[in-house]
Amino acid sequence: MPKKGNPPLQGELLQGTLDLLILKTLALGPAHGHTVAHVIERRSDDVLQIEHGSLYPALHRLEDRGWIASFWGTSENNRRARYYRLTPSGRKKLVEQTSRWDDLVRAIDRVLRPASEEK
Amino acid sequence: MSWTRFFRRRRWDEERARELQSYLEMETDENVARGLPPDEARQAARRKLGEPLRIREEIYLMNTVGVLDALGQDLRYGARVLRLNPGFAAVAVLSLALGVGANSAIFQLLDAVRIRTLPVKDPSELVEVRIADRKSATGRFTGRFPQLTNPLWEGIRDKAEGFSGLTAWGTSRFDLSDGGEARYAEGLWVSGAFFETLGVRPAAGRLLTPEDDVRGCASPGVVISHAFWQRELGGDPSAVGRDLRLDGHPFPILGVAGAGFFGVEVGRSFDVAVPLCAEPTIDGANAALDKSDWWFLAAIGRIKPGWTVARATAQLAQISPGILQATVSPRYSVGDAKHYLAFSLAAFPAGTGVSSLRRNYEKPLWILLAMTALVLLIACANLANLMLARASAREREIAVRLAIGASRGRIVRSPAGSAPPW
Repeated sequence: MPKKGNPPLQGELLQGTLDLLILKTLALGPAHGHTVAHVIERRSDDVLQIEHGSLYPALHRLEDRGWIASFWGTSENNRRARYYRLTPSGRKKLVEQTSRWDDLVRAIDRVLRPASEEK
Repeated sequence: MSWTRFFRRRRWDEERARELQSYLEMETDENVARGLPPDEARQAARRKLGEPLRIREEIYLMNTVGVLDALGQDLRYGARVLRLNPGFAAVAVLSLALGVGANSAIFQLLDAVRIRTLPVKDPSELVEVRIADRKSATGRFTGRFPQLTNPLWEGIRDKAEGFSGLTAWGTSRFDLSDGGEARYAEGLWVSGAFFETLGVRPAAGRLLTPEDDVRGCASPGVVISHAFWQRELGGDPSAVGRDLRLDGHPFPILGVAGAGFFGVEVGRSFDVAVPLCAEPTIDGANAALDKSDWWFLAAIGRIKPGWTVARATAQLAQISPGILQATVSPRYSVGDAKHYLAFSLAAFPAGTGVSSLRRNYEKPLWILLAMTALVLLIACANLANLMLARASAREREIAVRLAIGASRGRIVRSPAGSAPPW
């Protein structure tokens, strides 16, 4: 399990990515697990088909690290649901992880399409 | 949350179960809204989520510390097995309890007699000064530690280097009564530097100083122990300054030694400490102070910073002939005198005090401790045997445990954390 700090993304790419997606989703406002799963799917135009079950361990992990906090609330259609919201440290983490992600994408992009090929 | 989550994992698990349930309900609702029949809607929701139990397990495992969890299970299993076999449990617990109890009891005795240091300042600096390898000597011996005569002590006091403080003490008994039936107090003859050398603080009044102990003092002040003060004088602060009758002679009480200071003899405690110069007052014409064949004192000192016991001994050996020569008793025969002159003074570490208890009982106590340790070992070996004997009877159980996925490590550990079925 990755600890705080900046571990290499290698090998943990998928797990780290899921964390990032969850943080980003919650940045829009508090949501429960069901919503988070559907928002991620919808916003990725259904390209990212995550197994909804795998979302919950990830939520738990994030909460354990103090990046998100949870509370019980009532959903749109009157069901009890556990809501999650971003904590200040989670917000900081989101910014940090987003820029890391951008770096990563740029780096991979440079490798895949070297400048010489563009000519 | 950190490690405390380990203890809250059960509550967490319930929470997660409810959360997953609420997901299923919501997903089912949506599916129904999309037009699926309820049954199919529920199944679709289940498919979407995955197996709830597996998800909960994954989260549960995130919260556990594997070793602790296994240990808890082993302990629970052990308790269960013991409960099912009360006979075995009783035998095991009793034999272990007896073994451990006997060991700690003996050790406590040994600790008090041998290991614990004197309740004074920096006991590790204390050394005893006496004649090395004295097997016999001629003269009169009184008290429990007749190691030196007063002339010998005075020689040492004046000539010895290497001590930041040096003092002599001897044991005696004093009659407290005013005539009538005798009532004895444990007494100490002490030289003036006694309390200073040991670093004892007064609980009331003041303690003896070298100025109190000068030859010819008729009735100097005495110091009483804290215990005696409480027992005989009711801890009365006005006792200081009052007279105490010792063998019929009044001595003013100067002060009370600090609580917990019992003297330098382990296993005994003193009641009253009287300066050596008062000895003629009590013993009269028969006084010991100038008799070089009356052995009744022992010397204890504090080694000077920078000096070692070996160096102090070397210096003592150097001055010994002179002191001995000057203190040969006129009443000695030629043979006695020759024997006396062959003595040599030496220093010995005395941080744990001196004790006749120790002299007499130290070896038996060590042997006793070794024996009880052995008994405990035998008890353990017996129990191990019993368990071993039952291990074969557990073959089926072990086979079942392996079959349902226990690791070899767990199998080995489980009988260690418990007792096998009787």
